[in-house]
Amino acid sequence: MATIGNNNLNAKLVLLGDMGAGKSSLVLRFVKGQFLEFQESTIGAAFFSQTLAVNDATVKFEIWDTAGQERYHSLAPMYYRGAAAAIIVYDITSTESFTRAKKWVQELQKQGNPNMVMAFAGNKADLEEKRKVTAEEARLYAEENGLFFMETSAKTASNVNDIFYEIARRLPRAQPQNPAGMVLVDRPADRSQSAACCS
Amino acid sequence: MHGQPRKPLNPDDDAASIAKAAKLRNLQSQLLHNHHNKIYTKEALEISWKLLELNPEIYTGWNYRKLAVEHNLQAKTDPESIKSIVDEELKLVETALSRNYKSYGAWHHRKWILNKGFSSFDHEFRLLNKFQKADSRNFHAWNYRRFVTAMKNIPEKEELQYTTDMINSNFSNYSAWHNRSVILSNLLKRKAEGFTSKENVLAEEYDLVHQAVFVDPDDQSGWFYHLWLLEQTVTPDAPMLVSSWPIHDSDMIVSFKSNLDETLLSTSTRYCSESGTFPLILYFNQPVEGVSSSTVTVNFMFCKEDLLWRPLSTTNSKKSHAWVTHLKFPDKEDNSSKVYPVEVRLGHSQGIISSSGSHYNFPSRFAFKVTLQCVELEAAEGGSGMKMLDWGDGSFQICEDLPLDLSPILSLDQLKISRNHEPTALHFLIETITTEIALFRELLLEIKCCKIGKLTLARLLIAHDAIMTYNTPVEYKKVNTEEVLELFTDLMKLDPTHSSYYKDEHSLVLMEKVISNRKSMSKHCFFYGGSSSSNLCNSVCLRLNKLSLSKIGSFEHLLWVQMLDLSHNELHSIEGLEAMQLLSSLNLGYNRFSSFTALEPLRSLQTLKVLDISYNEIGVHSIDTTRYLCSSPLSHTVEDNCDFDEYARDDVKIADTWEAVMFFKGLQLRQLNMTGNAISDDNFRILLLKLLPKLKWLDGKGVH
Amino acid sequence: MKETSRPSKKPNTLFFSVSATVEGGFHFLVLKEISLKSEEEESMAEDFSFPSIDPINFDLAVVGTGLPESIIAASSSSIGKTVLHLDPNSFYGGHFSSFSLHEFTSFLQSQQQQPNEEEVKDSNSSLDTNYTEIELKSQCLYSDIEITSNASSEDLEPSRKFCLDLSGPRVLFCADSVVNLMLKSGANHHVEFKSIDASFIYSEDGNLFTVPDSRSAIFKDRSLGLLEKNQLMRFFKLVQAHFGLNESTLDQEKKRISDEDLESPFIEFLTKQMLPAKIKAIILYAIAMIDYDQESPEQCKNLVKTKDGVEKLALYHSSVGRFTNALGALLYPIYGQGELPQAFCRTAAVKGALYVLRMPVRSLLFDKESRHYKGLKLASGQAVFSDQLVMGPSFIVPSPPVLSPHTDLQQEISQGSILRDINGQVARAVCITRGSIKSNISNMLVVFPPRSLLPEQVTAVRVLQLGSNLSVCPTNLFLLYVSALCDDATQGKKSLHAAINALLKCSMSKNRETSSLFPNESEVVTPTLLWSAMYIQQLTKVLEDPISSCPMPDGNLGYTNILESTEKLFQKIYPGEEFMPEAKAPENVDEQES
Repeated sequence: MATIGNNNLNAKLVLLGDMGAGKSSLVLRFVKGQFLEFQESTIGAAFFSQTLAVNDATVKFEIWDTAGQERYHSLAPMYYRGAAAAIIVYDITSTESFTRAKKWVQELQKQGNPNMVMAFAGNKADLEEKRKVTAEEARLYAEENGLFFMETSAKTASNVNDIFYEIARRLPRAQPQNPAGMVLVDRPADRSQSAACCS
Repeated sequence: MHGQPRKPLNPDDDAASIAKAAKLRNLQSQLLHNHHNKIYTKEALEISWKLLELNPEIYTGWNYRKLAVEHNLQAKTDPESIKSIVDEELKLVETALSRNYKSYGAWHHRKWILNKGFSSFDHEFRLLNKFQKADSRNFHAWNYRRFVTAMKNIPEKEELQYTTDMINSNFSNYSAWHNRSVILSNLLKRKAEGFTSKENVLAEEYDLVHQAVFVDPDDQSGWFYHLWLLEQTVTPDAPMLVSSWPIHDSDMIVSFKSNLDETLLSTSTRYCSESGTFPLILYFNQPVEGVSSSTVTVNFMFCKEDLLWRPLSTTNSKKSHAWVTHLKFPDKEDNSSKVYPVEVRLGHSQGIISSSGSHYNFPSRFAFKVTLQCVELEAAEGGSGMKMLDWGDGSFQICEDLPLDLSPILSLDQLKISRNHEPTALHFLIETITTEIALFRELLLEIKCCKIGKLTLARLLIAHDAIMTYNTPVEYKKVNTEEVLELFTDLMKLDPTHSSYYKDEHSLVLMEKVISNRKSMSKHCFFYGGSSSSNLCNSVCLRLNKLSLSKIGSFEHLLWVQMLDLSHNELHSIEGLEAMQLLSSLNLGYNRFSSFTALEPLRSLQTLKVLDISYNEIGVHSIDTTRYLCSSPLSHTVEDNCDFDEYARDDVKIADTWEAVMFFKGLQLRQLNMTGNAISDDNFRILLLKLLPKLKWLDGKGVH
Repeated sequence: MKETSRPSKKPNTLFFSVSATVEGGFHFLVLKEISLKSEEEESMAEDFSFPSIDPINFDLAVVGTGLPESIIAASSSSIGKTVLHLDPNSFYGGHFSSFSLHEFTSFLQSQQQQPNEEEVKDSNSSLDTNYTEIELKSQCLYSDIEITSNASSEDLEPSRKFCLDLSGPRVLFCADSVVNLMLKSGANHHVEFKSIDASFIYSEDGNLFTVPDSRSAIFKDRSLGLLEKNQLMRFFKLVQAHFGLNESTLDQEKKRISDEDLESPFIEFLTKQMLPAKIKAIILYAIAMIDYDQESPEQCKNLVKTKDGVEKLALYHSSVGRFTNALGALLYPIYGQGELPQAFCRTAAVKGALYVLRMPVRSLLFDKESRHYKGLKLASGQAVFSDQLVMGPSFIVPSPPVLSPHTDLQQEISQGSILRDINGQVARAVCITRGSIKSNISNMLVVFPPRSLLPEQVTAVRVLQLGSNLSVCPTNLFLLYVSALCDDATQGKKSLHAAINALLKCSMSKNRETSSLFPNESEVVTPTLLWSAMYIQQLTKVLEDPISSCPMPDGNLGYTNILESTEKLFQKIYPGEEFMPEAKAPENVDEQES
């Protein structure tokens, strides 16, 4: 039974990071609790949604997937619009992905809104033996740039929910008064057109 | 619910609805158990919640909850618990309304709760807006809105603006227009600031409604509002006396006969009475109440005590167009033929009020003279009983020389009414009506087949004539009658579903045309002369037969009539006839009367002696559609002293014949004709004879 | 050396890229910065290099991300085709895009420097001897560019808040086919809209009258007499009945307009209905949005037939109230029209299309034997291959070579190379003003019927004002988009200037009786013109042979016509396939409902 209270937030969350860093796996784990070992490149879902209850509020995340447009650096400005939060994902076993992730952070700082909550996620934390990026350097980078940092593993589910919870906690409670436009929804004309009835 | 087509049921729905029905029955029986045993525990309340959520139409459920609330409120007095109890109820109502936003029970429950005074009304507007957005014509919501705005003391002007906004966004909103009319009535009545000039307000409203009816003449909401505006414009504020009997300046001869067996036929200026009284009838232009000896003064020598005034109406309401009292001559034996003046004055004190709350304001008077005459009848005539009245054409001779003053409409001069009218009001009135007429004539040129346009034009034309008639000193010649009759005839063809309504309206206009002026009325006045006439003058009969009338009206012109022939028409109702207190002979044969209840007005005619209702449809229809409109023991509107059992017999059930019993018992008929009616069989005749002891002629044959 | 310009979407910077072909086929890129407004340099640019595309075989290649191209990409992906979608620019949208102030200016200026015609260059750098390489040339479709600024740069700050449509004025009708397409494809989720608040028609005495386009608008309009209202409403009902839109048809007789009437000119039909001149003008120009003066058939390039006229009316009327939150018939996307191509591209990407911006196409590859199109040679030098190709409007399509094994293909091309078929032109203007035309309305449309401003104004001029609540400009500033079809540039610009002046004058008049619901206050902030850009855009025809090529933005207000051509193109390359099938598989993965 849904009650309409004052503390319901809707938040658009965007994922950034190289292909193969594990963006989709993270989301899949969070939203569906699933992990597929050989996840194909994302085809098919434009976004996912999941609701969290934090202490004083319920947060409904609308998680946008990049749909592969980040591969050739072709994300549309529409992707960033109105995003309240972002997770930049890199693979701890790949220095390249860490470097690229830093570039994404810069991109985000340029494109996104200044109040955006940003999380830096070092994914595949379960592959300790293949680690190439230390948690320290990542944390340092995050602190310097106003992000918060967590190492996650979509495979073991470690820190996956936590990262979303942390974001939810940090979201500003007052929703920004962005120009509220309307989203077009196809509803059959249920308003009475004619004046014939009861008249 | 309007606007939504019925969805055809499919077989899957069957199983679901069976299950649902079973669930409902289960819950219902539990509820009833709790209700009867006055169980108001939390679990019991839960059950009622579930039930009402599923089906908000179960009145008992709501009543149960009301009892529960009262019970629980007695137990708890702290504000927290009270609030939670109240909030619980409000939430339930909201849930129920989301299932069926037109549930009377739910809305009423909400009102009931809020009337308790424990919760605020702020949320109510949000709720209302939600419902009105879903369906702006939800009259429940509008009704409730009026309730809330009254409780919250929202200024009426704000609410008026709200209706303006709603109409602007979609003028096809009947409820918004209706609300507007309610608010404006209030504002005008209390002469609120900015609404003092009725003319200006109405002018603006006419302008607004013109937009609606011209943009979409098929949309009825605008037209209905226009009708309301017309009523506001045309209905005179103050009641006025329009007619009386006896009329001003007449010379009345009241005759008594000493022999009670005979009834002498009277002339227009001669009234024959057995009881030593004669009636004084006042007819007003709208239903009024409060006519009594304190508001009407009658100066008559023999009138020492307070006169008793009676409203002439078939309903129990205290309001009526016509009022009657009886003036009594004390001494029958006085043969002096002395002339006594009578003066009637009214309007000098407040008290006569119309239904809109206006008082009779103009001091008025009229006067006439009465001579008493006692007539002894020749023994040759006496005792043999009266002759049977024959309605055939041969009995009547055209009146060549008509006595004057047949048309007793009182003009303002005669009433000696001080001209208290505001000339501007009258001017506005006439100008408005004229403009409206011109406008709608134009519209009808564009759109030939606009039914409601024609109807409105007809009403406008009638209103125009009525206003001019009332307000011009000399007799006004009605110019619009032919056009109106034509319009109604057109409408009967254009709109067959409502043709009976149009026919009634047509008849009323036609009747008005026929009897409203002396010249045309005189064409229908005939002297009745039997082969052996009495030594009194021949009586005048008004013959209005074969006019295809389905309804009659204009009674203010007919107060003087003692003999009336309405046979061979299409009448199904004689509403208003009760005002004709002088009527002694009436022919309603060959009409469409289908029940005794339709003839109810006749019960008020104490002097009715001769009645012909042959060849009607009484008894044909098993269902009497007028039954619930008239007084009956079923609705406890009739005196209880009617003893039906007296007339019960083995083969005559009272259930079938109570209407006949009630009808005839009050009458003192001498002559009755009921042939040609389905109900008329031998059993019925026996009953009639029992009911009417004074009956001399039945169905054309003598009674022994 | 060939210069191509790549206006960047990053604020306040502009780049010209210069590519050089050198012997041996290497390319390198030199980045040159022009028109500095800030010293910020794009960090990415420092180490830019063309990416390598993988895979290299696709069902469809699309060059250019204008709206038609994006819709085709989305539709093709939806039916399971593999799509490679390229754009030489660093932004989406092509000629349908929205720009910040500086980007807008630079784009136009770069177009000015585009050579109109180019000779066919011999391409001797074909990498593969199986293919004939034909260089892809672009043409300039803009001309007569005039940019005037009356303001200091502070007045126009923050300039990155501007989203200026290149192809304005443009709105969406609620019942427009592009809306339906968005709903079908799921792209509607990515874009938010707002209503256009009001619509006006200009009368020759200089006043703006509200357009009575719906039942309640007619009701409220006090400039119409009662009989006029009745006539107008009856006409609307007639049209609705023709389409069977009236649910409550009480009479059962056939309400269709006769075929004879349908073929007759619309204006004749209106006259037949005994509609007064004022009403006819409203219907023709403010509701049906017709361009040419219908009263003078000699000069009228397009005498609209009744059947087309009533279709336009039906579009308008079915748009009114289609969405419960939309006040009128017209919508505008927040952040500008450029959002629409982005939305469709995202839809395509979700379905698997590959997106590469900043990737110019150097040449087309044709099979030497069959002369069929085979693939593309990218600016990076890489060759990619596809079965089908769709291109944006500014590329010049080589003419179909005559099938003869003896002639040299390149020779043929050089002789028969044609420019895109030009189909007329439209004059456009974008203005930035301070203050609204009507004091309490933000977003509005104004239509100037033909000859209402000047006798030589043969086409209607349409003006769209947008306010900051659409996130297209900073607060307190407004955008005015103006357009009119024209035969020659001077005449077109004259009409636009007249319209702009008329509007600025209109709001200056105090106490003028306007019949709209929003009376002017006597003290009106007269809109001040801060900046304007005026230009002529060529209209191109859609080509289907030998290569499918999409149209330029047309001179209409909505997208209906563009979409019709786009759908036709799609049917050409994939005959029999459903155009933008409904998103069947759960497009968006939702949480399980608790």
